[in-house]
Amino acid sequence: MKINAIKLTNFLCYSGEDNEIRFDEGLNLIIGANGYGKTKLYDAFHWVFFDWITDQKGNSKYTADLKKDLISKKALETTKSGTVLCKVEIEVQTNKSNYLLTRKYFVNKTENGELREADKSSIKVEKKNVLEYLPLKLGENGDYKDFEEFVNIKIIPTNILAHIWFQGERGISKAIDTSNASTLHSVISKISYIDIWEKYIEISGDAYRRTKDEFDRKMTTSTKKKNEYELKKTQLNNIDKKIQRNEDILKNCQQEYSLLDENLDKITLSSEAQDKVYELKVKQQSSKKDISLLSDSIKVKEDRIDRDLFDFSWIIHGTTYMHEQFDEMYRNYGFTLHQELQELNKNIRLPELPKGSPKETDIREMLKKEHCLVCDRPAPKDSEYYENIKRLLPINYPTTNKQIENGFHKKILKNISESNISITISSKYFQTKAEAQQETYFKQADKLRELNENEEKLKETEIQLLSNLGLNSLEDGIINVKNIRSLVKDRDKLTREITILQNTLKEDREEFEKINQSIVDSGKNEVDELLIKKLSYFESLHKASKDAKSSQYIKLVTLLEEETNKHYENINKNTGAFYGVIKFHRNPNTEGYYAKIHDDNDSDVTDNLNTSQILAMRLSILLAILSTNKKKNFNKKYPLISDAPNSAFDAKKRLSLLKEIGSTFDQSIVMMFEYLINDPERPNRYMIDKTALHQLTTEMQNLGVKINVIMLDIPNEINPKQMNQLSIAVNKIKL
Amino acid sequence: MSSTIIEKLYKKEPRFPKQYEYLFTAFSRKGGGSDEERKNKSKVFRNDYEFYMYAFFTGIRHKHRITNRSIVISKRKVWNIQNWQPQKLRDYMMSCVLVEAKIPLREYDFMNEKKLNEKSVELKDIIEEYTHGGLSIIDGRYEEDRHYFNETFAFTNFVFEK
Repeated sequence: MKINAIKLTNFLCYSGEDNEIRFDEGLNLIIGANGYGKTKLYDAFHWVFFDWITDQKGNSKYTADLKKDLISKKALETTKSGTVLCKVEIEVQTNKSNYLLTRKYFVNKTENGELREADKSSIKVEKKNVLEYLPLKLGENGDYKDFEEFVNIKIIPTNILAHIWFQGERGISKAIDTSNASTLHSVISKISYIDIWEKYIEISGDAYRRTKDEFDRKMTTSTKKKNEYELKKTQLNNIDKKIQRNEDILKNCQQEYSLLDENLDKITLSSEAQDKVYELKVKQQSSKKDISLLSDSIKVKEDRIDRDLFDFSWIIHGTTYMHEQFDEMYRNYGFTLHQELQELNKNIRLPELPKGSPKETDIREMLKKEHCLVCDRPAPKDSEYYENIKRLLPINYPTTNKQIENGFHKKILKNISESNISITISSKYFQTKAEAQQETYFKQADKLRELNENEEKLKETEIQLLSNLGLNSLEDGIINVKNIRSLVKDRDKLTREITILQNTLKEDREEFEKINQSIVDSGKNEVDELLIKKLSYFESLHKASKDAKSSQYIKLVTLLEEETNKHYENINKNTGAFYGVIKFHRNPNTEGYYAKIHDDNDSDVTDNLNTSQILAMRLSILLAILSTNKKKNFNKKYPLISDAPNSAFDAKKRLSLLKEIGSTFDQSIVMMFEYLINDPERPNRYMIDKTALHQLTTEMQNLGVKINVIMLDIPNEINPKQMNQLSIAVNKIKL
Repeated sequence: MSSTIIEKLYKKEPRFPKQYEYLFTAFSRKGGGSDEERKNKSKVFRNDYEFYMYAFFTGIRHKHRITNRSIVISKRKVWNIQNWQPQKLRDYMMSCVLVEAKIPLREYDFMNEKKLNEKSVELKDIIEEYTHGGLSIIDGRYEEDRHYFNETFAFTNFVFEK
């Protein structure tokens, strides 16, 4: 199959009808800057064959999802009313015929500008009949059941296409998942005739069973050994049932194991990566805790900043001379008061009672008891006797102002003085304390700054780690690690079960063989010798078919590995960087293989390699899938179509890859943005880097590979920012 | 029984020049509302009277007393002195005022009610005059460097500045 041409009419950014690209044998290099229609061209191939294109997230978007979005904005804008047709035609050449595949989609634009979108696209297949294309009928009464069947039979098997049409890194990873053991297993079937061995196994098995039935019939009719035979036969049946039951269980276990393995692959993180995820999470949590504690402490200090001016009276710093003066005033006050009181006491003479009068205390006692103790008679209050007793009390004390005498302000001044002492006593340490407090604060602030910087670094590490591991968040990583650990645990358990089952099966099969052999031996004198020989022959044939399939499978794996390494070496050898050797690792519990890269010490270094190397490994396997089987010759039969397969490669590796693709496939169509430089005569436009391209063409010519270069351009008059004006010009480059 | 000179002074509400109102707005918390509250949280002085005391002691520290009575007085309230906290600082402030009044303390014992009332007004004037002095110093520093008081510990450092 060869693709002769593709013609795009109003498909995405390709407005108008003049977008035809003709392809040759060899390498067809489609060069275009970002936004110049490379991916849309790749999409056009996909749309014709599958009715869907890939969106930016790698999801398939069918015509029914996209509808008018498939049509050039410019075409929609410039068509005032009527039908706006979007069409992609691909001319395909096979060994026997030429076909024209056309997929169409349209919308109707009404007079007032409304769009009426068709629900689906249509596909037409035409076959070239000498000079003109005649339509092929698809469907119930047609030549083929549907378009898919036609493509599979006449153009390209879609399971092969999945490995040779891919877009960007994501597309490559999708086309070949090297960490999934079952992917390489299915590849083996595609590249080889191994499935034919299943047929041999089936035929030889049938022959053996038929002969065995015949043998059984003879033995059961033999009267001599009938009982012995039936006993052994029962034993054999029991073991056979056990074997079958265990084989079923083993098959289920292996399926479960594959499923587990597949799930594990999807979320696989190396043990080193798992440790890194955990370590980072722990560091982040610890850092957050430290920051939180220190922030709280600093916040408390910040809230308290300058509060000690009041709480510890620092505010009075430098004013204590006032306290000294007040203290002196207060002492003078006390002294004056004392002096005055002494003077006053000197001048006061208390009057004395007349001689023979009772003591003052006795007089007060008599008044209290209202009884005269001298006359020993009652003296009730307000009576003459009572008044007479009362007159005996001294009444002529000097009258003075008590407030002044005792010092009216004495108490409050005392309070003030005492209060002053309490706050001024440590005033000489105020500054030292303030400085110490500030020092603590600034130390903590520095520490917080350091922690925050560390936090930023941890964030950067997190971004880097997430990017390296392809995770959305660290939490996802933790969940993955937990899932991995749980899955690994389950897988280990399953491995143990599989081993036990395999051992049991081995023992049972040996036992089965032993009994079977003894039956055959005992039948030697009972049945025809020829039947015995026939039985033995078919048994050996059946066994040999199984062994052959197994060894053929291993041989194919080795071949695929060798072919992969040839491509891998060719892509890498001129780069000067480490690339190692690809090795396929057998999964002991299934028939699958993992692809790994080994260094010179034969250590698996896959997890330590960069994206470029992993990509090179995947591309090499993809090339090998097509090129390994020289009889099937897929690489000569089918064209490789790839958009940006080299995004992670440097110039040297890119050149090696193109050479490898060119020399592997009879036809390849590769889109890339390299080999362009700014066009000095056209602002914001590019031109071909002729020097770089010359090197490529020379090297391709040296390999005997034809090269055809097409440049995708945006015409000068078009403003690329206006989607409704966008159109692409297709220019063939003269080499 | 009549009140002491201190008790009379405690009942007074000192004022300050209107021209320094902006300093109170800038440095002391006032008002409510969530936004206002957040903004206020960064302020050093929890009440106007705290900033008033700070200004007073600044005046005392720098022995800077402004006796100009012809200035426009702010209507912004700083509460009666008896409400000012902490009490120890309030008492210390009283002792400073009594020192500055230069009247022997014993004389207050002999003053009658009328005289005590007159004297308490004079003592309040002393507080206002030193506060005025302190505010003019703070204002001077603020004018020199608008960001000075935004720095951490600025008000503490300003106290200890030589």
